[in-house]
Amino acid sequence: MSESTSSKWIKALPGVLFMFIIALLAMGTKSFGGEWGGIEGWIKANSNFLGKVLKINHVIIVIIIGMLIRNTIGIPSWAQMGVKTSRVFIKMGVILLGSLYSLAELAKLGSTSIFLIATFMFSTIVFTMWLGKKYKMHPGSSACLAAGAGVCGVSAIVAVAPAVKARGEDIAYSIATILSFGIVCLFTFPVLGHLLGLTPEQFGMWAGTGILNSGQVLAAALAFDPGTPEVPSISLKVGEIYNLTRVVFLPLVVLLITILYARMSDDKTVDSAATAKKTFFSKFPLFVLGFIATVALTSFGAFGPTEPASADLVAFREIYSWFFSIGLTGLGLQISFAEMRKAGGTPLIIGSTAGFLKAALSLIVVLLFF
Amino acid sequence: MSEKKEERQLSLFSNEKSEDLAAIIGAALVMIIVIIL
Repeated sequence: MSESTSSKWIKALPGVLFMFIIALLAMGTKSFGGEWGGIEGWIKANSNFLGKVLKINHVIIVIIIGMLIRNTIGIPSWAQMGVKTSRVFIKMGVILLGSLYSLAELAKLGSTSIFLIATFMFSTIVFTMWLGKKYKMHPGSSACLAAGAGVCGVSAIVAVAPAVKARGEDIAYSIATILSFGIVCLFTFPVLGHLLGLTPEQFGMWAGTGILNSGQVLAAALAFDPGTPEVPSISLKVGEIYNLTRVVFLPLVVLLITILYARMSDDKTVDSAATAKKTFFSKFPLFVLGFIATVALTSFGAFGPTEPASADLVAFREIYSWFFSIGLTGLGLQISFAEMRKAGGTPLIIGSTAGFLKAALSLIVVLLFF
Repeated sequence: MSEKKEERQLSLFSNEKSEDLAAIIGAALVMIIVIIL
């Protein structure tokens, strides 16, 4: 490890601690043998509306605290480096989450999710690009928006941008649109899910298909059904498989959008075959392999019995719930209203229309068939 | 350009692959520690 990398790790520690303290405030000290239930415990004890009707839990609390800090006093300079590590905590949590599944369950959930995700993803992409062309948007801009609305939000936009020669403003508009839409989903999906009486399985499928950003799927699933180390969240278990299926599709989507872009813009300089070769390996999400390895290790009994769960498996669940809380605190800390205000005009209308249709149609499919 | 440079300086990871690798190593360490304890 180079000196600069190790000094960066040291510089990241205060920010990680900062996120941990916010998570601790929200979750309380019960995981560490304490009695304090945190802000979540206080809300449940004192507010029937917030606790029982809106079912506000630590996930929503950490995101709101993060957003409040970011948009009022801002992230302290000493915490900025650490806040950037929030995605690593989410990814570590997802890898540990693999201990909830067996290979048979993964195959069963995976086959349904591949069908649903592929259908919605590719139809959203084609629809968004068609709508963009109809409203005379710049092809690079509609390609970025299609990637964000179809696959997994910001990562997809960033992955597609070089292939479609997107301009800086195309990327900024698309990211702002997708994030704004996602934040609305994050807060409305769990409430709607409870109002409609969805089962945790149905909610997981809906959130995993209809919400555009990986962190927001995770947050919505945990907000709907937080689970406990003894009884893990079913909506998270189902939703995360849908989310990972979407993430794995990313390289294929970059290829599809590049081809559509080349056709719509008559750009002869875009080489789809070369782009496919280059992006398939560079964009493949490596951490998904870690998740699959954990599923395999759990299935082969490396961590002890699953029913009832061994002490090791219960410890994994406790740890991943903390990793998710720390990661989602970072997600909240990175939501800037100033950035979101960059969304507007035609991209906002088209992105929101595509996102809304995807959310509504996936809800109908889930209600009718599952 | 300077914004990109600043972004890179504020980030621990040069790209998404190294972030994924860090997550895999971190999760493996957690598993080992839990099993040992």
